[in-house]
Amino acid sequence: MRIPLWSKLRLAPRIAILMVATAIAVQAFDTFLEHILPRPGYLIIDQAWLARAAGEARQIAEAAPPTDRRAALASSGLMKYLGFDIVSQAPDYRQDDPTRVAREVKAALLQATALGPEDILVMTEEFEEHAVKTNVAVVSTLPIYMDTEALVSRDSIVMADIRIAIRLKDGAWLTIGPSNEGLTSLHHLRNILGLAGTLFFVAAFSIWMARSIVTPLTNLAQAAEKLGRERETTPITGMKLPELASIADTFNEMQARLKKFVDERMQMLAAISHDLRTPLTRLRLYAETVPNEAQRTQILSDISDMETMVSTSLAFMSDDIHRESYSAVDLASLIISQCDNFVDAGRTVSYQGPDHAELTCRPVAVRRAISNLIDNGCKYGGDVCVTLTDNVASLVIEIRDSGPGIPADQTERAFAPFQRLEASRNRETGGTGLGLTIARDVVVSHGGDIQLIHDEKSFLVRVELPRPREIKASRATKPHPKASAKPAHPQRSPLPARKRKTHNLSS
Amino acid sequence: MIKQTKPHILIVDDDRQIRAMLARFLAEHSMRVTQAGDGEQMFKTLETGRFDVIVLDVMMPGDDGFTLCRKLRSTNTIPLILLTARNSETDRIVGLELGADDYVTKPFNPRELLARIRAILRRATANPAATERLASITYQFAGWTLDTSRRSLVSPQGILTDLTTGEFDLLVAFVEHPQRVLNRDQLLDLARGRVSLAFDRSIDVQVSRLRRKIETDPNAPALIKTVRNGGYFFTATVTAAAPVVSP
Repeated sequence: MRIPLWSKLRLAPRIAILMVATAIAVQAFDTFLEHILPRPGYLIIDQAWLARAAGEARQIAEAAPPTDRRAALASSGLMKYLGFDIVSQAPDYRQDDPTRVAREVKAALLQATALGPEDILVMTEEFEEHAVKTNVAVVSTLPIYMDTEALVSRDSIVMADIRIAIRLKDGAWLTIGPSNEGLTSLHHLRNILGLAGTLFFVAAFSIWMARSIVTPLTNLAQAAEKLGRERETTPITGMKLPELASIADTFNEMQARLKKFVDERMQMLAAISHDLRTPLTRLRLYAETVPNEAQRTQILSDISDMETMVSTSLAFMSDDIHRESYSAVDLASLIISQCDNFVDAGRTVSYQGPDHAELTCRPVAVRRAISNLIDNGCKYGGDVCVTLTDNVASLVIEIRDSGPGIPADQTERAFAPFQRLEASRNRETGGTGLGLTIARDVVVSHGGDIQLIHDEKSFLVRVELPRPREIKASRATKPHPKASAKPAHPQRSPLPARKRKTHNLSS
Repeated sequence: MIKQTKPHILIVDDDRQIRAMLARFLAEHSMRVTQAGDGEQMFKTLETGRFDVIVLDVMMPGDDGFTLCRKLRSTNTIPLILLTARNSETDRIVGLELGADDYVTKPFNPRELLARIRAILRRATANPAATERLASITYQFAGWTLDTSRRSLVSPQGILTDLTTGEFDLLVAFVEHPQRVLNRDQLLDLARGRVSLAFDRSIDVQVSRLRRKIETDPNAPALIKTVRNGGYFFTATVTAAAPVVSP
């Protein structure tokens, strides 16, 4: 729905306009309903005529044998305005109806029939606006002014219904009422539709209004949720309400400021880490001149720790993890290699799983993630067992160690950058507190999931990497430059076309 | 290795201390070392004598290592080892494709550098004609593609297969000497010639690991066959191709 200048309206006038619109819509609907389903009409009866007709009906009924009474009444010509029935018991009409119409009709009937007051019953229903029956007006004299007062007052001459019962000679009762009661169900329908229509318009307009306020707020909430978790900003766009648009602008500016702030520090840290390499190189060379073998080994081991910290920090702070292109990788071989590397370094790491399992991923990033997880297992848990399961739709890597693991309440902290859960762990283990952060970063950027699970005796890190379903050509890995430049490599080019595409996961 | 005259190494690095210490370290390992602080000095020094290996730092003020590497390759073919500060694959590949023979990532272990210098010297001595771009060759065998500059192995199905350093060096030894029986000592020597450090597992363990990754059925190997009392035999036909350096 496009209304000119609507988008420039602030919240208060919008609500006012919508409320007016709701009222108009309800009114219009009611008018329409009255038009297609008119209210029941009015039956206007002369009081004297009614008394006479009742007396006549009584005579006809009494003259006919009990079984033919209904037929006799039907053929009397009184049926046009009145309806008759014969019942054996007195109908449970309210005695001594206090309304003026009831009193006057009863008096007229008594006078016309010369019966006792207990032989005549008159009951009326007071007029009501949403009546579903024919309204009856019993007038004593004509002409008469019918004003609003005449309709609603207790002494009104207009009734929603009027019932007369007369006792016949043989004890049966003749009941008389207005004949054309019409289709009451239709009038019920109109009343229900009228109410439903009103509710519908009020609900529809208020939901529309609420949504136009709340939906953008949900976007805002999502962006706020992502802020600080993802390095990239999530700009909020498409705010229509001027108030919300200004909130969004402020929020976007805040995001940009925060990102700039973080980026500057990242760059500074990256620069420091980078520059540390030169002094580290010098240290390494110095260490070679240390004559004492034990001292030299210790120095070299310290330098090696520092190198690891520098390269981990650089890996975290540079965007390499997100820039590497996707390629088809044998994940099993990658995991086996990592396990073997740790075995060669004197750790106990075993692998269980298939020899080959293809996954399209960023190999360097995934290698780093797996290496970090195995490294953590070795450092904190001792013996590590890595399991790979190929579930076709995804690959599940489980890294199990027998260490104390990470308490459930510290899981979130464990994933946060530069957090080291030292309380329960040995300070000697070293590291920068980035291992799990990087691992999760990599797994999430592949659309996967990482969980820390404790079971009876071991601690388990479970990584699930989904196999991308869609293959998009837009992000194709650059073909091997040598392969593309040299047609002399026939084995490279006939690769199935699919293998050369990459999968777009991040968008 | 036959000891001849001391090999002559040219170290080009802007950091004076690193240069000096490296020179001392290499000198202790019977090498003759000349130092240069930047590209200009390097070219001047090159005119003054004959050098066997140049060790060139990438991150230098003025012309960086890549630029110097390209300039060098337009005039001569002296073996070149790059000292890259970043451990980024792109940098290594650029370096190797510009004509460097090997690279060492800073901060490096001087013993590793020494091993690499020796490996290059040995190859240059063994086959002087093949000194050019030794480090950047693509081998093909049985549908597999082994790229020495990327240190990558791609399966016949186009899937990147990960190898440990030891497995990679062993496989290079095999593809460089195909269809020939290689005993364990020869393999150890050939593989160690490339990278000496990460290779402390026995050849048999490395071979069985390698088979698990490249053989269709590791229990009935078709590519790397065991020769009784002899060693191993690489059965596939290997084609080698040097890369085309993009202009």
